[in-house]
Amino acid sequence: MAPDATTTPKEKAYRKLNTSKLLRDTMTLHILSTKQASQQGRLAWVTSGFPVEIPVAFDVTAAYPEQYGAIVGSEKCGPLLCGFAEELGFSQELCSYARSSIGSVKNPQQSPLTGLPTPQALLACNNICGTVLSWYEAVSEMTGAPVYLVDMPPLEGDQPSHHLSYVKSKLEGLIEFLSQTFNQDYDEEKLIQVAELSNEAVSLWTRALEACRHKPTPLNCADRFLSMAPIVALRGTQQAISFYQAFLAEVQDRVKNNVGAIVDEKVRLLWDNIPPWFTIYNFFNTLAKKGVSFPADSYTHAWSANIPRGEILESIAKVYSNVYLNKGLTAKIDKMCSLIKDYDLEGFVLFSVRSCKRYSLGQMVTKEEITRRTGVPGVIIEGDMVDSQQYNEAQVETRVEALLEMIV
Amino acid sequence: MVQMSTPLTYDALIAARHQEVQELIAAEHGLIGYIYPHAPLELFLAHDFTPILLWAEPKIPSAYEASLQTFCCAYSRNLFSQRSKEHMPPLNAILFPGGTCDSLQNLGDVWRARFPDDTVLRLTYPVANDDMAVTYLAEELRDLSNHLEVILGKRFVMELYQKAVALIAEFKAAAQFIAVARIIRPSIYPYFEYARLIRKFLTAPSLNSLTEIESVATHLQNELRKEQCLPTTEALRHGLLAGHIPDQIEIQSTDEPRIMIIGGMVDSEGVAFHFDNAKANADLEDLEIAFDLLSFTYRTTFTKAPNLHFDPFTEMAQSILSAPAEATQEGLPSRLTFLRRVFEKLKIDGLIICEQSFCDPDQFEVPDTLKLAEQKKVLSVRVPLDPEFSDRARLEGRIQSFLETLTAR
Ligand code: SF4
Ligand code: SF4
Repeated sequence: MAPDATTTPKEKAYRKLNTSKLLRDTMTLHILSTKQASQQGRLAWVTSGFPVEIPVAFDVTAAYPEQYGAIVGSEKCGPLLCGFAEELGFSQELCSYARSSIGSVKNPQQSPLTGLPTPQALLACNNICGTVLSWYEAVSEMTGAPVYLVDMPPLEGDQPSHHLSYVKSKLEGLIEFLSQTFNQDYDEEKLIQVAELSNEAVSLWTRALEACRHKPTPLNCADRFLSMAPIVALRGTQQAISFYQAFLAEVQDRVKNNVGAIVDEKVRLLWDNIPPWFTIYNFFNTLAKKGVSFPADSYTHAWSANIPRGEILESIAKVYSNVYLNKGLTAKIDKMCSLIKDYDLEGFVLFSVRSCKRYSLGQMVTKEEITRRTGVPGVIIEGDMVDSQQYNEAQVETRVEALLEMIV
Repeated sequence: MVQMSTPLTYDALIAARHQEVQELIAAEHGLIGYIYPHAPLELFLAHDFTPILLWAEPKIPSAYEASLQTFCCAYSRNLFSQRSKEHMPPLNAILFPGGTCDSLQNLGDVWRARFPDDTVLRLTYPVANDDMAVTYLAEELRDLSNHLEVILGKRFVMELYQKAVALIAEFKAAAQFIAVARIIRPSIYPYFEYARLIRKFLTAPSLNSLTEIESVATHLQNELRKEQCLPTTEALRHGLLAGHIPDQIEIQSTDEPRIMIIGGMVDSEGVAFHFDNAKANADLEDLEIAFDLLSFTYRTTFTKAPNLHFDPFTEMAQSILSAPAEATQEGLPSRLTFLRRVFEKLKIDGLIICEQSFCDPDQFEVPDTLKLAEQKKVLSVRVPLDPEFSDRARLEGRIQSFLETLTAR
């Protein structure tokens, strides 16, 4: 069937989730708690792939600069904040999450939410990219907060024992660092409890993602990107579980009643990479009007591994080392091919994010390989997730149109 | 007497590298190409392969567009284009580093996909240098050694390893000495020649290239002995090897400003070549670079040699991880502390910051470096460059006006 604009002007092409209010409230409370934690000297800035269960077990509140970058992008002030970092000498060629974060530290008064509250520690894990270390070291120079790096060297295939021992030693080092920085003893029982809470939230989230195999999909891309906030920021807490219980119930309800995230689903696509935050609604909703949905993406599925039972630090070392971003191109292609198959998708859009070399370099090979393996066509669109100056809307539209023409 | 080479064009520099490699090929050496500076040279030699440091080709037509985006670092793009255009020497294998920077990490994957007949080796580095990091890297090196035996059919030979350790250690000792002699008295030997000798050895490590650099080091030793500067020079060399500058080091003030170059994987020989052109244009022939903190010169050569009495893999790992000031590693605060000390103790007046296009590690480091230079009243210039030095006129013009301002101060 040809995708066309079949909805009437008054009827919205996409359906808002009822749990969006709960999401907003949950995240607002989280923001307030980060402010309070900072005042009490117990706030850490943490990278998205960091084994956050460990600082949480130390009663340290985590704030996520990458998530803040998403807010900056959505508020359309990426160019302004990135510009502040550029005034300090940071190149325009660097990651815009890093630049906007550095810009907000420099000029909090001109930043959304007056920036993230001042951290007492900067916790980086390089299982997502190498940039995070340089970024956090730069922030450390500005704020005086010390950096702890959990080094997880990239893996090729299975994790060898020396890799596991090394990562475990880094986690032990983290425990020592947190004990000293926050003047608190390590409590292994508490860490096990936090890991269980984390697993529960991850399971709920994963079930919601998997429900998108249903036709029509109960969640579109923007829904998932917005509602992943608690799985990133509140893993290991009861708040995350409470939110995802309600969220999953709504998703299941949609499935049961055959209510799609978009009104008239005709084409199902895969999305790859972070979204362009400054135009997230516009991008996905414009396509929704044409009957195009995105039941799966490679990004929000990154938080879907449970910490297995067993020696806790070893289990954490295994799970976080094996995130597929840390496992090279083949693992990523495998993952995307299985999403296409499992979610019955007809094409894919790879967003080449200029900021993010680790996630984006290799997409040309990825595109060819996915089509070769699955037979479905794909397209690469270019831009950035925060810096709207690097995004050419007309060019993006033309490319996506070309893909849709191939599909129908 | 120190031999000075005739001035060359930049193309001639590159041609000389090709010549070195051609000689290896003619002598039927097995070749392993590497990109990241801290490769285990001793390990390759122990497996009877010659490691060659690959370089960016200035005149290569771009041929990466169907495989890599423009925001991949320019150095990686150039290497990829060379391979696509079949411009690389015939290599038995190519070594990609893991865990150093995002561009190279992904380039290795793309390379494998695009050139499936190439033997792509991977050595993944830890971003730390504690005991556990040494253990980890030692195991990675052991795996790499097994790989070389299984895939390329040449086993690790202890005798070759011992010879390799001696060869590399002597090369590094000579390079260290020249670097330090030049810090004490920059005019004692041209920076360009220093960079050329190091590049020559790394392009094709051999007894011949060792002899050349050693004879220069010996000559400089004699000079400094006559001037009674030898103890200071040695103290500084040992200090730098241990990562610090001893208190007793006192650099004599001179009329000429003392210039330092900092940056990552930039071609030191190429930078020196353009610096020399810039100073000639400015009519400042006597100016010399006093010190560099570049990856392919200082950071490669100021590392500890493996100790032959202990496990080779642990020793090689320790040697690699002792590389100083590498921005792909953890530790910005210690790098800045070292830099502050360099500015103060080595009496640096001017700083040239080389910033390679789309190189995250380099580019993240620049603002704090600039800030420190300003605090220490060191005049600095930021020189954006690509590995082909494609905009030579602009590059040289920028350095020239920097040198003119510096000397006017
Ligand atoms: S480089 Fe990519 S993975 Fe790393 S912080 Fe930036 S956007 Fe995230
Ligand atoms: S130049 Fe920079 S980005 Fe490129 S390979 Fe070297 S360290 Fe990586």
